[in-house]
Amino acid sequence: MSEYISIKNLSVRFGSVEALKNVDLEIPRNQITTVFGPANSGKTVLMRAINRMIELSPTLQRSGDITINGESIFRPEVDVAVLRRRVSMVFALPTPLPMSIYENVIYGLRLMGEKNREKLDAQVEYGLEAAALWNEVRNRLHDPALSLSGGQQQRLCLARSLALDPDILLLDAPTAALDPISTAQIEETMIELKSRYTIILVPHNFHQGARVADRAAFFLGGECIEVGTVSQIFTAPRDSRTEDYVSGRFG
Amino acid sequence: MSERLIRAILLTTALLSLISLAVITFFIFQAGVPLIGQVGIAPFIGGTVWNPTGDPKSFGILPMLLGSLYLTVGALIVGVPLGVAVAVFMAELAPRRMAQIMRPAIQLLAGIPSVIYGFVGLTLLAPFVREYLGGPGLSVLTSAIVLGIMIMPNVISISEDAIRAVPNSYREGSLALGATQWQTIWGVVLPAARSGILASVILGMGRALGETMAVIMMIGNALQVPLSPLDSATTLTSNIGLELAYASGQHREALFATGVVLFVLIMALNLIARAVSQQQTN
Ligand SMILES: Nc1ncnc2c1ncn2[C@@H]1O[C@H](COP(=O)(O)OP(=O)(O)O)[C@@H](O)[C@H]1O
Ligand SMILES: [Mg+2]
Repeated sequence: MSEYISIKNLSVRFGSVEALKNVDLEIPRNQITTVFGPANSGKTVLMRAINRMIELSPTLQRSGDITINGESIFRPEVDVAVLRRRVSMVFALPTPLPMSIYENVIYGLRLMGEKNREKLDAQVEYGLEAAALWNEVRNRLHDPALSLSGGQQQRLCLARSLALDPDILLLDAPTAALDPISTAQIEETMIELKSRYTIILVPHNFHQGARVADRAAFFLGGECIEVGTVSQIFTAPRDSRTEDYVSGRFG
Repeated sequence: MSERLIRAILLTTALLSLISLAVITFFIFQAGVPLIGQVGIAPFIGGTVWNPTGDPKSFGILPMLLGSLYLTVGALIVGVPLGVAVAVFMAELAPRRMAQIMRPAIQLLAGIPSVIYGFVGLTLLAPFVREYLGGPGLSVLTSAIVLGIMIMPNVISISEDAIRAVPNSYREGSLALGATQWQTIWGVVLPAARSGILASVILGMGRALGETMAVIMMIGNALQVPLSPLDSATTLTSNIGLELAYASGQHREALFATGVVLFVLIMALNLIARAVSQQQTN
């Protein structure tokens, strides 16, 4: 197993709130790792630490480190914009920008200064195809993104990330606001995508994690309680708190 | 007090305001339209000579019409970019405490009577313009700068509300795609807030077009078509304000006719702005 992302003794505080406590976690390449646990256990903060979105919070205090391919993402020479394109995040609620479908998909590329129409067109098709949305929108690429249904909007957000050719996808409960059919589509898409990307998924519920992921990490109260393969975590957890949670005794 | 009584009172006040608007409109049109009929629309609006008491009489309002338009455009050029910039600063960049201190200060700016603005323009800005830029100092430029500052508080507060109303998910979505804060503001937040910002521009436009007292003090009240921002000029409102006190007969009617033009102008600008904002939000 090649460790790709290493989280080392990471602690995150916002003022008096301790969101993450001494988290150690190794995430292998080209697999889906599911980070699950009850609400407020620090899952979103962990994701936002990996693309450095937590730094938008003025009260942030962080200690510990995160490395990707052995290099710390907190080195001063790291360009956050470049990092966020390599480590692309999809949020729990769809966040299409108030512009056309096409413009949404190329938004990140435009910011990178890409002007070549053919390249942009190609990436739009690639992103939408990979996010399983191409067939539904190919004839209406210039309609406003906000005219899409919720499930389509979320796949558009995925397409927008994929069009940037990221290395890592952070999916924070991407199906939380979706109907079962859209959820199934996105789950299928995730499994197809893992050959090309390293995916960290906060599942909508832990069954989703069990369905699509290879590895699982259980979080509780800002701590990483237990990490292992999906089958080990969900059938033979070592920690009693993990066992309580996966057997439905709390949370 | 019964529910019904309160309803009746509110309904009456609403009706009263509608009725007074209708009455004002009716009287202005009744007093002004006949003269436009006698003179003819084209000579009235396009004529460059305003000599309502001379022999022969001449009723051309083009100089003041252009004065009003130039001044309004000038005030918007000064007030809108600055006002929107301040709004962006307050809504997106300033620490909460700082915005809390700035907000009442800006409201105070809106509460200063226009005669004070005119006074400052007349005594401070006009000599400066005369000295360093040339011309008589009492000019379209001087008035536009001061009027721009006068409309800024409205632009700021309405734009700030519009910017704050932009959902945070737009900002996060943009930042997560590697946009800088500035790219996010320019590319996502401002476009999403544009209908509110446009509303602030409409309001500012109405204020600039209608302002009378400050303009009388600063624009030089010269009945000429201004050829440069440094020229003196006059506006539709300042001309009415200056002449109505002693006008009689056709002169008086001509001032009401000027009011009709002003009225139509403001209506037209409002309709255009509304159409633009609707088109953009669709
Ligand atoms: N920007 C922030 N400022 C202050 N507290 C925060 C911030 N983000 C998250 N928190 C707190 O950190 C804890 C973990 O939150 P989160 O990671 O969102 O939990 P979840 O596991 O439900 O995703 C919560 O108590 C939350 O209130
Ligand atoms: Mg969360």
